[in-house]
Amino acid sequence: MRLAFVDLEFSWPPPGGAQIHLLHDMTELRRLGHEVRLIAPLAEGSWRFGRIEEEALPVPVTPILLASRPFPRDELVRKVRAAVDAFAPDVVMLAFGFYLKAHLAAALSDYPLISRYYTYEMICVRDFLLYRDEHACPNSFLDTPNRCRRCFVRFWGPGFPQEGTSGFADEFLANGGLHPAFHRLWVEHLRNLDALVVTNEMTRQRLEKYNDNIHVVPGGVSIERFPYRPPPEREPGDKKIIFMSGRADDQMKGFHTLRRAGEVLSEKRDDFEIWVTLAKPPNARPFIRYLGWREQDELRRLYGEADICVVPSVWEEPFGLVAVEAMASGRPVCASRVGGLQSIVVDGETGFLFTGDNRFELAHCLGLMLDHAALRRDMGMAGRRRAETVYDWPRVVERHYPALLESVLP
Amino acid sequence: MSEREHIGFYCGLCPDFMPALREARRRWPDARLTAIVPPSYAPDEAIYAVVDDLMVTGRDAYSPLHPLAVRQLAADLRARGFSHFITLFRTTQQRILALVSGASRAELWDMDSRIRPMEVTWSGLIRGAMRRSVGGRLRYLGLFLYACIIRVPRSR
Repeated sequence: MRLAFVDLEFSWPPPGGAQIHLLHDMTELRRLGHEVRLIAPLAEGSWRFGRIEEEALPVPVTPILLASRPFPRDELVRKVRAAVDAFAPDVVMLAFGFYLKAHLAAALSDYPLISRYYTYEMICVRDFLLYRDEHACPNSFLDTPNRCRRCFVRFWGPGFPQEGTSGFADEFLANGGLHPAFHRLWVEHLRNLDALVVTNEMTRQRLEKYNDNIHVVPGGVSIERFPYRPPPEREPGDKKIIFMSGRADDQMKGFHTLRRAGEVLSEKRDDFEIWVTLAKPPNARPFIRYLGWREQDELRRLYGEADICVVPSVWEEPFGLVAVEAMASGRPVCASRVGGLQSIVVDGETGFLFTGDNRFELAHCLGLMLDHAALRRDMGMAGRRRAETVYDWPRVVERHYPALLESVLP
Repeated sequence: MSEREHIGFYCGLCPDFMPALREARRRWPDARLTAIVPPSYAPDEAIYAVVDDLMVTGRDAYSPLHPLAVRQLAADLRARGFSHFITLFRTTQQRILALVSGASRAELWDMDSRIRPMEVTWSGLIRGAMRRSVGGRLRYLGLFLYACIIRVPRSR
C-alpha cells in the first residue's frame, strides 16, 4: 500500500517527541512492506521547525518550500495537494497541522484520509492543552465554541503588547479562527475524515459524536534504547531514590504534588531522596536533589539509579512517554490517574495510580513502595514486560495499523 | 576582510537550549559563538562541541529589583564585545539586554521557530515598545469585542 504522511511541523533532527513518534510509525510501516513518503514544509527563516536533514531519515521526503510561519494557507494547500497527487497514495495520513488541518482535509477529501491528533488541538484551540485554572478544562471548541473563543482572546490578548502570542495562536487568528465559519469548517472536517487517531480514551469519548471511526493508538518506546536495569542494591541506611524526569518546571507536570508528598513522608521517615530534573529554587527542600535539565542519554542512566519513578501530572497527559521509559528501564511507576497515564500504568501491577494533585494518596503509594523492596522489583519487572509487549514500537504499529488502514479503504 | 563575527546567544531560562545553539552553529560555522546561560542550567563540557565560549550569568533571573546585578550583567556582556546578540524570549528585559550588550545586530529566536530582528538603539526600543503597547492593546480590545459580539450559532 502507498501511504503519504503530511506533517506541517516535521523537523529532523527532532525538536520534540511527536516527530520521533511519526518517524517510528513511518519506519515500521515501511518494514511491513508499505511504500511510505513524508510530505513536509521546509520553512525559510525558521530555526526549530521546518528543517529536515533528509540524509538522516529512513523514509523519502517530498519537501514543500514555504516562507516562515504563519504559513500562507492557499499556497500550502496547493503545494501539498500537488505533492500528494504526484505520489498517488492509497491512503493519506495527516499528522501535525493544527488549524491548517481543516483546509488540508478539505483539499485532500477525495483520498482515504486519516488524521492523527497528538494532543488536544481539535478540542482546545487556545493552546491544545485542555488545562485551565489548574484543572482539566471541561469545555471543547466543538461543543462550546463561543466560550472557547473568549478564552482564547483572554489568554493571548494580554501578551499582544509584548508580541507574546505563540506562532500557533497567530496562525489561528490568521486563518480566521475567531470567525464563525471556521468553527463550521472545523466540525465538518472532523465529520468528513475517514478515520481519526488519538492517543487516549478520554479524547476518543469527547470526539465520538463527530466521527464514528476513532482509533486509540498509543505512542511507544524503543526498548533497546531503554534496556532493563536491575534495581540498585541498597545497604541498610541508604536512601532510596524517587525520580521525576521530564519538564518538571512546567506546573502541569505536577512536581508540586510530589514535593508536598515528600513533605508528608519526611515527617515519618528519612530513607528516601527525591531527584528531579529541575533547577534548584531558593526554597529548596533538604530531601530533594535538584538535577537541572538533563539530556536524554543521561536520563537513561538516571532511571537505572532510581528505585521508584513518579509521573504526577495534573493535566490530561495525552500519552505519558516518561512513564513508559521508566517501565522499560524496569522501574515501578507512581502516576496520576489522568489522560494516557491511566492506561499505561496497571494499578497494583506495574506501579500505582493516584488521584492527581492528592499528596496524601501519592505519599501513601510511595510509602508502600519504599517499605517493600520485593514489591518494587516485581512491579519493575512487570513494567518491563508491559513495555516490551505493548509499547515496543514494532508491536504498536503491528497491533493498530492494519485495522486502521483497512477501515478507511473503499 | 571583516573581523570574525562574535555571537552572544542568551539562552535565558530555557531548559533545552542545545537545539538553538546547534542551529546557530550551523548558520554561522565560522563565527565565535558564546552561550550565555543561567547558573542553574549551566551545561557540562559537552557544550564546547557546539560553542566556543560559555558565559554563566551571576543569577538565574534578573529584574528591576536587582539593579546592581543587572548593571553587572550589562558590563559583563559589553566586555565580551559581541557583534551579534540573540535571545530566545521576547520580553522587554531581553530586548534591553540585547541593547546594552553593545552588539550592532540583535535577533529574537522565538520558541515557535520564528526569527525576528530586535531594536539595537534606545530610540528604536522605545518606538517599538510604544507601537506594541498601543497596537497590542487595540488588537486585544478589538478581538475581545469581536468574540463577544459575533457569535458562533448553535450547531445542528
